[in-house]
Amino acid sequence: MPARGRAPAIVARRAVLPLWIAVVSTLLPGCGAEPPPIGVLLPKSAVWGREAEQGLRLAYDELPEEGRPVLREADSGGTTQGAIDGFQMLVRSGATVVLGPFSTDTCIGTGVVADDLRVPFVSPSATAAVVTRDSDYALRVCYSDDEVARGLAAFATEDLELTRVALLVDLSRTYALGLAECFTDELARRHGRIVAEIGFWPDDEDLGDTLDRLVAVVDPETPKDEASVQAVFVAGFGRDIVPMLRGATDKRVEALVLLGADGWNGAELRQLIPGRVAAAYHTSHFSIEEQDPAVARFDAAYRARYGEAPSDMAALVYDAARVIFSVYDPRADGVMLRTRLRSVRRFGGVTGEIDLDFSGEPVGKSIVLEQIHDPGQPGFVRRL
Amino acid sequence: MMIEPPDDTTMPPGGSGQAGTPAEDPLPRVLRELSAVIDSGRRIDTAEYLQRYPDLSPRLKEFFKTQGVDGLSTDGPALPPGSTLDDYRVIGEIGRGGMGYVYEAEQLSLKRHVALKVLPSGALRNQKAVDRFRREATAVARLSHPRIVAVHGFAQSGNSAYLSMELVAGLDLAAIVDRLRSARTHGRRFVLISGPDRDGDIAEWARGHRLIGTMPGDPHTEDGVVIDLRNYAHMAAAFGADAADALRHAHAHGIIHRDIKPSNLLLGADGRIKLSDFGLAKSVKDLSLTKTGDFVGSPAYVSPEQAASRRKKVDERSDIYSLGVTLYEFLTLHQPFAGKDVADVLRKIITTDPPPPSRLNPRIPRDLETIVVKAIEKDPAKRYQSAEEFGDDLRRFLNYEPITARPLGPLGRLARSVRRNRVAWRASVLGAAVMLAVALVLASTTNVFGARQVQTPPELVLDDPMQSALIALFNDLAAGIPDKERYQRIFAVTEQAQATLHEGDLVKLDAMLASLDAQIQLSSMAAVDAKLLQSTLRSIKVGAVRALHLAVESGQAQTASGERQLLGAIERLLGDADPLVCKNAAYALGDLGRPSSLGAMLDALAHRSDVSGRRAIIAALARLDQQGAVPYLAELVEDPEPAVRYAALEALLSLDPVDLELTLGGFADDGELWIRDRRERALAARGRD
Repeated sequence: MPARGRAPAIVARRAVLPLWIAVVSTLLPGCGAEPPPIGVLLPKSAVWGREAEQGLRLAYDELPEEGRPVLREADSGGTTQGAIDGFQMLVRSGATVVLGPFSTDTCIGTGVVADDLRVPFVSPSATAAVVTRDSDYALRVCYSDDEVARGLAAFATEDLELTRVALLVDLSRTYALGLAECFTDELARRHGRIVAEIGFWPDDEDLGDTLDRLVAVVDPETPKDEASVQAVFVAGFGRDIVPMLRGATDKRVEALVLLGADGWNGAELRQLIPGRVAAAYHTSHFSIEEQDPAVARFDAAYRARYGEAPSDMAALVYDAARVIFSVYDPRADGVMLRTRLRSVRRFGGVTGEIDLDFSGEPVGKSIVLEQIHDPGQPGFVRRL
Repeated sequence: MMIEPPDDTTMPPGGSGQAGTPAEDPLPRVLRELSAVIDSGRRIDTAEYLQRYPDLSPRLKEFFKTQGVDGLSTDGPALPPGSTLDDYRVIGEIGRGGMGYVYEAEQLSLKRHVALKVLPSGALRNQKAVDRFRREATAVARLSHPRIVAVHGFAQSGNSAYLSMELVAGLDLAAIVDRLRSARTHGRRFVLISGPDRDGDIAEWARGHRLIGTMPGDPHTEDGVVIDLRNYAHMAAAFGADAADALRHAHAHGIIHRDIKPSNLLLGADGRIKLSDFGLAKSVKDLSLTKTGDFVGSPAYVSPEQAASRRKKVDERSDIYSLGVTLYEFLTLHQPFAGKDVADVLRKIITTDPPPPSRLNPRIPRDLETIVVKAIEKDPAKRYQSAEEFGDDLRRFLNYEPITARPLGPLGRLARSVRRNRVAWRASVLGAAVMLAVALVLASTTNVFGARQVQTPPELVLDDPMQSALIALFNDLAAGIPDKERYQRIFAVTEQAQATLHEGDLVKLDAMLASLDAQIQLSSMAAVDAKLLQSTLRSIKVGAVRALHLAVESGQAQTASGERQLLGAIERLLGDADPLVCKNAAYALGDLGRPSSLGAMLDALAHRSDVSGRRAIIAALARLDQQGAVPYLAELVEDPEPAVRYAALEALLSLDPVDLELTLGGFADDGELWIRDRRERALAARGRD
């Protein structure tokens, strides 16, 4: 998955979206045959389900009232089975295109069904390369893990001039494996290399000495007066290194640079990092600090409506919904809509410009790089 | 009963294959060829040889006679389909061999299909052959057992003599072993062992077919039985237990088979084994002492006492030995005693010890190896004393119970070595004494003579509810039940696996996952179900590796045997289709650093095709730190995937062999500049270039 594949235990069941969709559906001027709906496959129990709903609602309400498509919702429950069931239900109810599912695992299962039913889906946030590679009807608006890993490797070697990196791999997630491999390859192509690797499971109780073990590695090719490990790439979620940071006692850890992809937004992590390591960089889909007019408009509209700043997920769903709305035609079937989606070019998304290619990938989508500073300081560095 | 002359015998009939060259006596070459066939345990089509070498006919017949290969198929034409023989109408030939032809036939009066073994008319002149036929009929007539091919009757009619027998549609074990060898040679993992031989990808073919999996006890289906070459120890044990049951019954009725070998074990359509061909059987009361030189049986499988033929008593334990050799060959795909001719084979049977089965196939569980080794002890007194004991131990293995057989300790191996090499022993009494002392010290410190503390996992019996649930699941998936019910079944199975993991029943979980893996690959379930199941099993497998890793690391296994079993479970998951599972298994094995895992890791590396899995194994080989991996890693310089070549280069640098520069030589010409640069920079940094 990326990013948000795991549904936390906290269940935020809200009836807002179904109620809202029901109202919209009822009020929709309909004469003759009902137009086919747009399916929405949300993991309602996920903690970010509310953010996704808000992003979708904002995009929908920006459409002209006349001719708004019908939305039909299903709850994936955050599981592969739930996503497959929900997708099939949506298609049975006439949906010709679906927004969601969200995680890599749910998208892989759904992709098989979508190929069978010939109905495309657009995932806002499934970042594994395999999602669009294995299904002809899967598309996404987010960048892929491969691009993140390559971008970070390039940043490490070119901007930071680091060549000796240790790898921390979350052994419980396919997501982490893909990240680790792409990062290793790109680093090697740029004359850097992995000098040590430690695998971990996030729920291990004895992760405290992990960073100490990494800085103790002696690399035979490193001059004796230099540190063998200059940086650590975390192939996993940023939050997983919290216990490692807490448990580190070796002073050499303070010289490390941390590099990572998603899941670095936790308050605890952000409080821990300053002062414990030399620097920490991570990628993101979206930054409100970015000086971009479209982002500023979205940020303002979102805050005005919901009273809070938009999250990555809200922005991604907002973009995915607008991409679908831009191609939707009630006369088109799933195959035709897939063709239209594959033809989306230079779409101005708040998460970056979206150019969908034949495989459903947003080609060359830019990646936001952020640095974690002391709380309150801006984190946006640049787009990769 | 197929006729399978060696592949290199394709010269024209009657010729030596050396036209234009001075006449060379072809007899030695032909005899070598025949010996090879005999050694392999396969049948010889004597008629074909006599036709091909008419000039050698008298000497070949003599050879057949002395080797116990009766020249019985030399006369008389085969019965064409539709012809009748008394009450039987021939449907078609299903085999032929030294004892004649075997046909599928319909018994007209009873409207049943039978196998008809017909003695050629010319052979009727050979009273020995007729006696053998009659002996088989009378011996089996006293037996009635589901694991023994039933003989309905014997008749001599005019110029024919024939046996009417139960029809077993499947292959014999010799043909199955041939298929396994061929699959191994071609790098195929799954092998269809019933029906027509298939060269292609069985997993691909199997889609749309309903198959019996690799666990015994699966329900009967019509399309076939499949063996997973990486995971068929349980099937082998089940086959052995079936054959042992048949022998127990025969022995209880005072009958010694005397010719147990792969070609006499037939695989029925139900996936169970039936014992056939009692043509050499003798009643215990008739056995007394065999006459000097009166050698019977197939050379590769005869017991030492049969091979010696020196007035040694041949009893039930000879059959146990032959069944042990048969299992040895099935598990390792090697015969324990190979020789250049029959005499050489017999000499080795009497004088040498075969290599331990696990040396030829590291996937053989330690307990099963111990059982097989005990069955093929040279001294009958050290073998299982009855087929019942043998079968019971095989069933204990199948049920994950402690077996009664004990592996030979270092002292036992030493004693055996001394016994076999008396001359050398006499020449170095002092050295032997030192070795003995060392062995005793070793034995006293490693508790090899004490009772083994096998960690007994929960019982996994064939009618285990979990196993039944799995079988029901896959049958239902193949039958196309509604989605909701199908998913419920999938998740029920997943929950059972999860529960098994939480209970810590790691060995049981491994067996369950192995069965599931084979079924997922081979069943005809929809792609979405396979994806769903694989996805739901992923976290369980990752959890299993983690638990196994911890169990080995913390010494929970207590014994070397227990640890090997746990390591074997991790090693099996190296071959999992999911790269994340492979990564976990590889990481665990690299972290544990057990040298014994090297073979399994190299094997998995050779068999995987995905880049993720291969690079994970390569990285683990570097952590394992065994120089034995160096040549295999160096070969990867030819790999088409740059990421794999790069991983191999890094692993070699980590292993740092003595001849590092030489080992890395191939990478100097790599098509990727960054790989070439990495090599140069690494060597320069180490001051070696």
